[in-house]
Amino acid sequence: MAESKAIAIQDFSYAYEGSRIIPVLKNIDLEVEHGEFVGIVGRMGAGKTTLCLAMNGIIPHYMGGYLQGTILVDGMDTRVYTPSDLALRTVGMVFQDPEAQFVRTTVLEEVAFGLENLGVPREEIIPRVEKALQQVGLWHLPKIMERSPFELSGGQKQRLSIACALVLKPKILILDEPDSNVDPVGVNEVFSLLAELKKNGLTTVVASHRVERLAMYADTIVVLNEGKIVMRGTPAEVFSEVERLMSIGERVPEVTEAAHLVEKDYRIARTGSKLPVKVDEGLVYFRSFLEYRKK
Amino acid sequence: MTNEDVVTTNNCWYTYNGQNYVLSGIDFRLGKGELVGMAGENGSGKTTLVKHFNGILRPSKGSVTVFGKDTTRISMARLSADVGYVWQNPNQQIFARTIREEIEFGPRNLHRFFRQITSEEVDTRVEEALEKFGFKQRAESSPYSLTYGERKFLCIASIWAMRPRLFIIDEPTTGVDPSTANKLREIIEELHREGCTVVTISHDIHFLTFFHRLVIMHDGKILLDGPTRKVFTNIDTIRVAGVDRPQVAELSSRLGDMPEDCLTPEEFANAFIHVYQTRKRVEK
Repeated sequence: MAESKAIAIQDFSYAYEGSRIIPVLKNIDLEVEHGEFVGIVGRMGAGKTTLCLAMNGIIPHYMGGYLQGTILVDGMDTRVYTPSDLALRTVGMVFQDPEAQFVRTTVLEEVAFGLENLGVPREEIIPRVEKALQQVGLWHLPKIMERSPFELSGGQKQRLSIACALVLKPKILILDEPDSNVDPVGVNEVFSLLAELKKNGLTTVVASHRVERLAMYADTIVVLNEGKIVMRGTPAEVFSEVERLMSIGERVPEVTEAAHLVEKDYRIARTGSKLPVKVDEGLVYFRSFLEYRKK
Repeated sequence: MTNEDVVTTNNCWYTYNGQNYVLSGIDFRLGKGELVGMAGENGSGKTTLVKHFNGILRPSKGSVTVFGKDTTRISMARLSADVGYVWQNPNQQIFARTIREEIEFGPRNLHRFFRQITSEEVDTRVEEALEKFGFKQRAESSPYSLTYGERKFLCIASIWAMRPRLFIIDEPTTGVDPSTANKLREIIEELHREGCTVVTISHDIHFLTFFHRLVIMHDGKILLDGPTRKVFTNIDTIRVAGVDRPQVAELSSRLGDMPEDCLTPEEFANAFIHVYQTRKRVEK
């Protein structure tokens, strides 16, 4: 049953207004379980952002365009429920550039913004803002509530934008390249936060080019190419298809690529098993070659 | 200083607000034809430092010499003929109505204000840039009809049309996919082959591995500076600077018996096959 899924997308196609009806997404079928962590990879223009916008109702409500098929988010049809209905009840969205998202002059006002718009009573707002800032690990910063969102570091800004989504208590969080404007420390902060949130049962969909990180944290990888889902599976299943991914301009984790190159060598050639996608798996994998030799 | 120095900073300090120093006594030399990558956390001073190379910023204390000239004694407009700076965010750089006008702006000013090139030369350069960067068919379109990655190319194209001797590219890889990053890399390699000196800031370790020299900044200072391969072997210092090492470098140090300075999956695979073969021979 579709209702039991966090997200159920059925035969969904979409073309932007004024695009001469050239679809950006073509016949997408995708089901996301409650609590699942899904990573979406794909080249620029593959449809990642469009898919994210369709999952929280911005498409079609604010963008117009032409669509077919259905998207149910926690059982709610995105054609019927508006983005604010969806935001209030179930789904949070984090955009690529946090600065483009900030509209207020203090962190408190910024996080409270969504709640105010949804008419949440004043006495409820402050504790919820406090909790959201705790969740993203910003609460301990001195005078955080009074600070300007713009004076935070890159990683802190991105965590603030996640707090703005979390304050609405979403069951599902959709993030469009939350890691593209931050340094490696910021990327670590963002992904460890997402891993923490997953433990509390949050369903997470994140579009990202960071395959090494996705391999560490995601349950499922979805590969988009030219508006279609071309691959779907666990990180090991998907990233083991090294040549296929590279042929569509994707990268695989370095450790996977290294294993692929080693296996391709005629002196070592061995096939059939999945390739390692994380450093720890790589250690076991490469050691197994050397140990096998010892016997 | 030798004649071959492109940039020399001598005990360079900089503060934006008069209180906190963002650069604390930088001594840095950039030689002709070098291909340099620069990494470090947000706020470590990378962008502030490179903005001294084209005179957008001038040191609060100390001195910066670019192509033999003290930057406090030369206008930024003059410097821009020799030093091209590509902004991190293409949307902050792009302002013209069409792609052609965007590319034309720089060389046209070289002609108009400095008479460095003729009007015909301006036209030639614009055509060349349109051709080289693949904008020929879309020259009259708005820059905003381009994707984010294409806009980055446009920004590089418009600087390239000025034929600077020093190219500074600030975080070209943020928000671009792997195949666009590869194209950027080819363009940078080509600029370098044409004899340009190139400095590129990036957080993308995968991207940085092809630069010959790597500078790691931390807290307004240069923490590490040397051949890229060697810099990545300073495991502890790199960690302090908040910079990642290539995943295969991590893997080879933990695996043992492997060279510590593997930078790419290819290098790792070759080194591993070598180790494997050597063991095989020993066992026999």
